[in-house]
Amino acid sequence: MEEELISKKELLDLTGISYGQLYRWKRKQIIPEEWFIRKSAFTGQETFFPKQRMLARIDKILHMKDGLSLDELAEMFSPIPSGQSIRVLDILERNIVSRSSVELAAPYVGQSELYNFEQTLYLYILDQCLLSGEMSLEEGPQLLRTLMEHYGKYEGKNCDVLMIRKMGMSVVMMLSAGSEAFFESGAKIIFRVSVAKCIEELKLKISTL
Amino acid sequence: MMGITGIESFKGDLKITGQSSAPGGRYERVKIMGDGVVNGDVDCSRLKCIGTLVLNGSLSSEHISMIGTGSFSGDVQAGQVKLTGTAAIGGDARLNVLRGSGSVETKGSLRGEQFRITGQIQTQGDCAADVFNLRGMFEIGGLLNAGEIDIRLYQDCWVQEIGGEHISIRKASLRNPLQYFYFRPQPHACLTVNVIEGDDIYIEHTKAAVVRGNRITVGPGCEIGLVEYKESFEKKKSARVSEYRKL
Repeated sequence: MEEELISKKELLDLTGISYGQLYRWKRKQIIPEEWFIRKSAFTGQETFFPKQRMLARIDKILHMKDGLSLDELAEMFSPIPSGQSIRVLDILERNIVSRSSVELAAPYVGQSELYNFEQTLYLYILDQCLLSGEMSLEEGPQLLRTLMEHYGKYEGKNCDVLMIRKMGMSVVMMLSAGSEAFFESGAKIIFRVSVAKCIEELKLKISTL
Repeated sequence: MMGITGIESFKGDLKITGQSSAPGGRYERVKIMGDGVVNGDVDCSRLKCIGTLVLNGSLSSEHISMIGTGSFSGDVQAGQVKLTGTAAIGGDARLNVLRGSGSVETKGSLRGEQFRITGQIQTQGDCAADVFNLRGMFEIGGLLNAGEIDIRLYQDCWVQEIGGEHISIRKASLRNPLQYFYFRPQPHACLTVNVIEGDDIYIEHTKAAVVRGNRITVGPGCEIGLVEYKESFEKKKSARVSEYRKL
């Protein structure tokens, strides 16, 4: 899954932002550290960014800047879950997570009127994976259990959820974000979901509640 | 974490006078006069030290006032820090407001909002703040990232990269009579850096491979490999710039 990269200079040209803005956003951790990819070029060391994600992020920052302060933006983009609780009713009504996913997850996450952010996040990730059509309903609990057992260990650091399958056997695992993983031949990566991205999407959806 | 009390709501004070050691824990006020050793993490509202403090652990405090020497083996997190002397930090430091004179050293990164220091800053990792105001010298292993950078060079300085909005690096005035006795600037002090990127840049006595920005002024004593500017570029007489281009 090689992502297209964009150099810092091209990025500034394309978006019209200045060095100062870029560094300020980096300082406020609105743009995560891992996106600054250092590579040697013929002019010495250069910084590159994952193109699609970076452009999307800058677009969001520029469009939301009027309504929110930089600190609020930082909070929204931070990989640390927010402290708020969400009513299941709202989750369903707003279509944040589909009904079938909520029902599937209930025995594992716990039946409740009110879910905290982490629990909602697990539901959201489950829902996204199911919607993509790459994961079957039977594999859902596997994903949920992995998330519930291990997500806390990352202590707010960015991580990815990965699913591999070989000869019909599926394995769910968690990796720290950006790390490379290789598998024996015959094993197939079904999906790799960035938890940080899900948190961001989820926060965006919740913030309009 | 060890504490002198297991009750959450009540936090006692820790006071060391003379030479003594104490366990870490949650305290309201920590006051050290003389020579203190604290073993374990400390969480307190105020820490005041006159003399020497060795903390084997990390520190979290709203307010730190340090006259003398402090060494912390772990991370340090603080709201306000007033420093006269030396602080050595074994981990990362997050100090919102850091003022005073002396030397700050971290093995990790140094982050905060406002740094106003006369003296020395040394970090092995990155250094980030909204305002970075330094008279003295610094050595930063990573990136110096600040909205407003105002540096007076007293001695030779090193940093990998500098990024920010307003960047101003000048040589210290040699004429100030007050500074003349105890903290004297060297006449040939210079800054060595790979890349400087910012909106408004004014530099003096700086050796850099690349300088990029909107408005750039390269002052006396500079040796720059490449300047890339968007709006304006000015080169003072004694500056050497190998190549410059407008983007």
